[in-house]
Amino acid sequence: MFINQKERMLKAARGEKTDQLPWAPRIDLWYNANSYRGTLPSKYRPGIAIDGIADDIGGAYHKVVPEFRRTPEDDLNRALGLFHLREGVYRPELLGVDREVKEEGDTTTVTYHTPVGSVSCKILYNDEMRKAGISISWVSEHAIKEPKDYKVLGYIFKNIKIHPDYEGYRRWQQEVGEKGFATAFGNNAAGPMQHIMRDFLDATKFYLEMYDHPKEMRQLCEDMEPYFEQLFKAFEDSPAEVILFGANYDEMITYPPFFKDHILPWLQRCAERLHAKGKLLLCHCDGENEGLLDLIADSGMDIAEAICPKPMTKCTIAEVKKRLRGKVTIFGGVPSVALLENSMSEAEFEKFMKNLFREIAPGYRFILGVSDTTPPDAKFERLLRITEMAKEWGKLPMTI
Amino acid sequence: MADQEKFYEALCEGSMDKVKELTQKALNAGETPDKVLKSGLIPAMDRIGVRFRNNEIFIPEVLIAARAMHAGLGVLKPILAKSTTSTTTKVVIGTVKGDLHDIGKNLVGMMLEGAGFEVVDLGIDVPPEKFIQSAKENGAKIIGMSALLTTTMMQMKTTVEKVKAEALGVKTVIGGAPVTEEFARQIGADGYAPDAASAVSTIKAILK
Repeated sequence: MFINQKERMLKAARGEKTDQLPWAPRIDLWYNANSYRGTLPSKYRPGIAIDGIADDIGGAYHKVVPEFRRTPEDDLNRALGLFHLREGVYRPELLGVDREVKEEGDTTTVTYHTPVGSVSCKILYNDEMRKAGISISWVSEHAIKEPKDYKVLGYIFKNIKIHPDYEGYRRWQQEVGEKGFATAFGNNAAGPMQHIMRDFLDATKFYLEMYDHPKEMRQLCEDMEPYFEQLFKAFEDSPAEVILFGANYDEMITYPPFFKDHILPWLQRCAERLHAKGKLLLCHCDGENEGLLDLIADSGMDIAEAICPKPMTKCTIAEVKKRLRGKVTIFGGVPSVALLENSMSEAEFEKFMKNLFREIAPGYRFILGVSDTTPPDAKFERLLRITEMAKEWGKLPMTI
Repeated sequence: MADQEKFYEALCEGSMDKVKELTQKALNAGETPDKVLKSGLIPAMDRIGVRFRNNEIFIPEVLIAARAMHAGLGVLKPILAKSTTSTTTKVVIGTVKGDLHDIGKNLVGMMLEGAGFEVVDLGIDVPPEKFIQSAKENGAKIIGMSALLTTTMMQMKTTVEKVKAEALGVKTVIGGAPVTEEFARQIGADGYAPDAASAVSTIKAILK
């Protein structure tokens, strides 16, 4: 029986048996960077679409991380952790907020005026970022600078209106078609506390604020609950099959007790609600996860995407598989440095990949991908070689 | 003699007031500032570093301890500054040119300061020449470089080469997500730290 790429990936994600190891390399940053630099492989005509190259590579489409910044307006509210996405399932509207925008060179200052005060942030997007293929601006000045800022952000989030809007997503889902699952973007944070950590403060200040202003932080978490509740509702009723909530876990940054207290319960609640509607929860787990794997296994997430093994992290794929206890589908496995000639020679690459396939075997609950993304200077032929390997060794159950 | 146990307890609590008080008390009792630093504050912070490496405590505990230690250093510094001998080793750190990611670099800075190093943080997007200039100006023994992107990690190679060409006697240490021990060896860096916790021990080992 013929199984298309999307069905194959969904089966792997649900822990069902399928015929072949799915292979879905993420190439968006590589594509952006090389298109901008004019260095796409010479066989591709200028202006070729990313999916045309993905078709040529021969795997499934990796449609997980959205293009955050097609226009500067798309990520203008980026310092609040809010985006306007073409393929999104909702539109956020800031009610009772007067937004002031000032541009100076590569930096944009955004000030939010509310009846309870104002907060300002700076976001940066420069040529170096374009060259690296980065599709999201950088927060160079965070919203929380003083204790009074918590209240202003609380007001903003209590008053956000989420408008479900499925048309853009449906169009995109159709474009992706049978080539992969179109992951709907929920939020980079799994819950209010991770949202505060990621978006409102720089990391080192966040930890000090946990000690210095715990009451304000708790209150802000409460104030953000209605926003997340609206998001849940929008996604529960959406046509999306796979939804991303939570990204960039790392044993040092989202250290185990923090993950256990603030992320785990939220993911479990999120997974329960999505599962009740037949939907799958995906998290972008591209950090050092060694100390978090047991918690990830119990989180209820269906897909741990961008799982990256040694030599970029401490764990091999065999170790990750063991710790996840077959409860979570691993999406990833090929560390991005494996695609770089200055990090691995051809012989080292071949040896590394063969060993990786051995570790993946028998291959259930696994989607092969690049973690977290194909780097701009990747040797393109290595992606094609992995496609060959997946065809040669990827028949399930794998016996390599 | 500086009561290391009390310093340790105050650092664990993250109490800047207590650390300042203990530091002042030790000075009032006739201890030299150098001894307060080396027998009190640094060994206490070292114990916190060991607990961090053993996963007994985590980043927030280290950061509040480092902040409290800074408060103690604030009492000592004006006196140490009058002394003719430098008691601390300087380390220049930064995220390499083209890279704006700073979490890892900031954590390393905090850990180093906590371990008694004097850190000159050049921030993000730092070109090789700036690393070298700062190392010269500050008499630094170590340059620590961080990168998160595969596109910027080659800046580490450029910097290492330029540092060697200058023959400053400054050692280079690198770290960051795409960086591996093998890469560090290839580009001729003197050290590689896979994470912030190990950066301190890597640098200490290089300086021995």
